[in-house]
Amino acid sequence: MPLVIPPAPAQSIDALRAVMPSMVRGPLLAHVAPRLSAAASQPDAAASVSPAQSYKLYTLGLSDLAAAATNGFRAATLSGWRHILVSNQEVVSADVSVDATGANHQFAALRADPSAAAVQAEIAALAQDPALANASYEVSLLQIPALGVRAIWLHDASGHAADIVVPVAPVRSELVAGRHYSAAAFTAALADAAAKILADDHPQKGSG
Amino acid sequence: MGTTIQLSFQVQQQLESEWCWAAVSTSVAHYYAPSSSVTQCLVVNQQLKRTDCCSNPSSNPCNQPGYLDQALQYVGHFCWEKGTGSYGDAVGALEWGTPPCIRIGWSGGGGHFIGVYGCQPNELLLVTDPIYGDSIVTYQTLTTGKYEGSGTWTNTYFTEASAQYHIGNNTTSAMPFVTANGWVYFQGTDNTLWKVKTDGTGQAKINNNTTKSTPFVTSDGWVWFQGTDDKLWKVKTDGTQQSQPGNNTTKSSPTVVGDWVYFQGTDNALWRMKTDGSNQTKINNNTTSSTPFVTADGWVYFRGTDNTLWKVKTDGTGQAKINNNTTRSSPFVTADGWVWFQGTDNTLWKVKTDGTQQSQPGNNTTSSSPMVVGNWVYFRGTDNTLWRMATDGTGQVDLGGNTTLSTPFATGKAIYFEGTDHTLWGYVMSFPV
Repeated sequence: MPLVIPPAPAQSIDALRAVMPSMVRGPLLAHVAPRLSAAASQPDAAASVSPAQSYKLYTLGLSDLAAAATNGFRAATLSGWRHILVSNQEVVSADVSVDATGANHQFAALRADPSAAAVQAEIAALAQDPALANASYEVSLLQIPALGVRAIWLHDASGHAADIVVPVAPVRSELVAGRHYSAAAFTAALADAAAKILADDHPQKGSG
Repeated sequence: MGTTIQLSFQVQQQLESEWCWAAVSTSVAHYYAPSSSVTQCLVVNQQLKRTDCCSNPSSNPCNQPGYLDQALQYVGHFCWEKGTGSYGDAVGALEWGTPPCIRIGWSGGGGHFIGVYGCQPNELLLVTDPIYGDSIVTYQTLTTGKYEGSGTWTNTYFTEASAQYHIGNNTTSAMPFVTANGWVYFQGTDNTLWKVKTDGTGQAKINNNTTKSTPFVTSDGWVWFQGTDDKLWKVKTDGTQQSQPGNNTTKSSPTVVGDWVYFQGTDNALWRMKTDGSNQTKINNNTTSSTPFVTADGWVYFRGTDNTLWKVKTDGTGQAKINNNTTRSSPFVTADGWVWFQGTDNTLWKVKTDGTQQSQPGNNTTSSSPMVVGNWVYFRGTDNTLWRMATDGTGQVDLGGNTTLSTPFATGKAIYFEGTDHTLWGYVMSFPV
């Protein structure tokens, strides 16, 4: 079975398109993504911005990381959709958040994202991996922002195959980019880093 | 808001997994001083009191979370801090060319620091992140737990250029007096009157005289001072027309309001006279041990010889104690009706001019009269460093790591003071306070 990347909801893409006209009227887009800015500045172009690819974006908090070792990533929250926009070889990621009801989509952030190309390349490699051919995995992005971790999360909704997590570069020293981790191995690798932050958490401190 | 701004500020990638605070503070230092030699590991060494974080940065003792306010203080660019900021707060700081920094609190624990360096209509902000790089985000994203999927703006750190500098080449032995047109007047260690521009140029003696106090300079160009003969003197700022108006002896710097001069006599009584030397009179029957503070609405505030705060109308009526307190310094009275003073416990106090609402804002010790400008109180700490705090007692911060021997003279944008090296110093704040 091929990897499954669910199509993004139309409302999510509409929310991205809705913000583009005001985005191209100022200098910020040209600073962050000059090629996208130039392309979107053409008449009516902003309204027709079309993602090359879109993924569900899940986030996991430190307090839920330990439980993921045994329960998988059930505690991960769907924070929205990440849309990949490609303009003349410039790769940009645009996040559109979604609320808990799943009905309300709002533009959240846009960046020139070197990791976006890495994600695309990794997904392409995973799609060719014969070891994954016997399961039907849905592809999502999993972030643990407090640790600066980004990974591709392969989840078999039928439950026949165990979750696989593939960290995307740049990675922390505890992880190896491109390696296939089980949920248990992934959380075990990050357990000490999470514990270190939680043990010394303070409302005015910062780390990663 | 419709403002569009983009500053040339960019946060370095953090070099270790826990060093966002070091990356942001180092980047702020390089924004204000591109030739700065500050590095992330130097900040970490100083903040964690170590010496090995440049040679062994990933070791557990070095790779630790930290506080951005303290790191910014170390690099000399911390202005003040508040909780979640408004979009207008960010725009206001950007308009001044002072990029604000933000703490992001992650859902589930942990925090992260980023910088802001641009804005655009529809509440779009350009942020720079030591992990995730630069991005355009909405204000709503930052304040509703959506930054990188789960982050919320929890704290705001305003930065400033904080240029501290020597003013001219001189030595002084008193608090300076600074005028709106940018001149600093001061008592030299040779006991003569001097002036110098706030940029250090134009230093000159003002006529031939000897003085023993901080001068008082009027908007119409007269310098009033206590001579070493304990007489009141005046001289034009260009050194002409020096004279000794009236027949008096004084113990303090004079205060001039309108065409009246107020002073503490050598008999410890409060006196006033017209600026031409006429109409010299005692103001009621009292004894004082400080320079009087005279307000535009016709009240004189002073420290009595009983070390309590007093007030009296300029015509001598209405004399009264202000609440129950003891003070060591001249009071400072604000236009909105607060009397600020150094208590005999060496802490800062404030009380309404009608004696109500006496309180001790903040947590500090002081060894000088305070000076209040806008919403900020400036004072010399008992540690001889310059301090500033908001009038509600919050935001207390050590300014620039300097030492002073005098009450600072604060304007809206800068502070001037006698250093412990007996030279004149200026400290320019680039953020609007």
